[in-house]
Amino acid sequence: MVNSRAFQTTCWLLWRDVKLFLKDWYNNILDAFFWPVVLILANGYILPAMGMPEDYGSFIVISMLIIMASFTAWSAANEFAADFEGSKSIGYELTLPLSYKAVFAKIIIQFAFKAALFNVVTLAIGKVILGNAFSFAQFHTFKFILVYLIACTFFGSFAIWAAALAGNVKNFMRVELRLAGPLFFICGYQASWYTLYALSPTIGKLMLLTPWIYAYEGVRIGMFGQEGYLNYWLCVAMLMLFISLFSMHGLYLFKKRLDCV
Amino acid sequence: MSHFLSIQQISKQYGSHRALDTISLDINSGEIMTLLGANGAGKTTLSSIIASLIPPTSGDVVYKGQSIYNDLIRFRTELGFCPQKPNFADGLTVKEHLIFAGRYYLMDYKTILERVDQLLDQFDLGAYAGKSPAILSGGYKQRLLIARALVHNPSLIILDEPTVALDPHIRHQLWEIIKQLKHNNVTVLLTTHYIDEAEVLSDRVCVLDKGSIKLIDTPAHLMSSFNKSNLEEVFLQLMNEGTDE
Repeated sequence: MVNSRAFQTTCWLLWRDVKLFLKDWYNNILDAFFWPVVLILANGYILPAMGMPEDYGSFIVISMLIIMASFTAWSAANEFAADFEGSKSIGYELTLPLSYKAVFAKIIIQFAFKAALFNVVTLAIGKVILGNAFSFAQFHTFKFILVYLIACTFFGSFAIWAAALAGNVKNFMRVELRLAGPLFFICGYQASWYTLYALSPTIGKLMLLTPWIYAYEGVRIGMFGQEGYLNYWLCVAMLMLFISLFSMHGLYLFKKRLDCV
Repeated sequence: MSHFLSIQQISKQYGSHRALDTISLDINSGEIMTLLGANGAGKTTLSSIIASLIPPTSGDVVYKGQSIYNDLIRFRTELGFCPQKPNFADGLTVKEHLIFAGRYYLMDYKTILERVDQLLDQFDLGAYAGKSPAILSGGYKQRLLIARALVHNPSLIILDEPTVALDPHIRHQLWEIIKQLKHNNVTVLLTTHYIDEAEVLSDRVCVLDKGSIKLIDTPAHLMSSFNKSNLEEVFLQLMNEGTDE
């Protein structure tokens, strides 16, 4: 049963984190700006000049949106990993009148919020750079917002799981270099699932075991429509499943790492 | 008789290391109880368990007749915890830290503002209200930590080595603040390895050594029963006895 008092305390903690994030809005927008500009330019103009399809830049806009969201959550988790081995400021929250589960849930929502908010500027950057080549004709507001928020929540749950698994910044960087980074790029960043499946059915099937493919595909459906991608509701359901799995195991690691009550 | 706070048979094991060994201790309402011991004696582990920050391996903490683990949230609403190291959120000002502390305990905004102004004044933090805690000196950071722990008027406050690594005159200023807490009927659990601090501040002292309680008594009674003129000599004798055994 959710304790009303604890719920309100959790909301105040969340509001504090949101307030801190918004306080630094200028830097957060700049952080969301440079990578997408460079990569959309490269994929929208340079690669097509080298033989890639003309609409590849448009495809990469969504890749950039997803990867920026995941990197933002990852970056927030990096601070968290530093806190594990440093000042342990999380300890303050763990003595407030709420459970450690509420603190953990608050962190996931906080990471998801950070991931989601300013990175949508990627869509505007895509429009400015690519013009009519990046079309909103098939844009489905409800589907886009729903899957985008769920994908960001997944990135939040994955990032806190990785931070709790690593326990310090050095190990966290290793998780990024060895696992998260390669998976972010290979699982749908450069090509749709059907393209990967056509290339190699084995690789295609393996991709279905990873959560990132559903994030990329789901958000692309919200932007470009269903045709050519995995089923939208399958993407939503699989992301929810992965959020549950990473949250449950992450919570176990979080409790073990912090030895909290 | 039910004590204000009762630590019952607490043990804490980290792998093969036993940090606390069946500790039992009663704390009375309104007193300053000091956990005194050398580094590694188990003071921070015990205070962290009482603060419900970490769980014991075995044993119980009973607050006003009830295990704190039966209703952790109720216990935490009456607790203020001041950790050894500052743990402030980057980006908030001194005043915002205090205001949010009130929010976490669901105080109404008007009451929070009154309380925060009172604490800023009491802890001499007014000049820094709009500043980041990062620019504060060690002594002022400790003041802010204590003020933050007091916003919601807790009945129990745990101060984990609040004066460690501070200049002597700053330590004395903090002592006055701690004495004021007792004056306001707040029960204080203080951990320290400064013996002069324990002697000046404590109603009772609990001497910890290697995770066990050596003795619990008032500083005055300890000095008379050991026939020593100060608590430091008592402490040294106790530690020597431990080494001789």
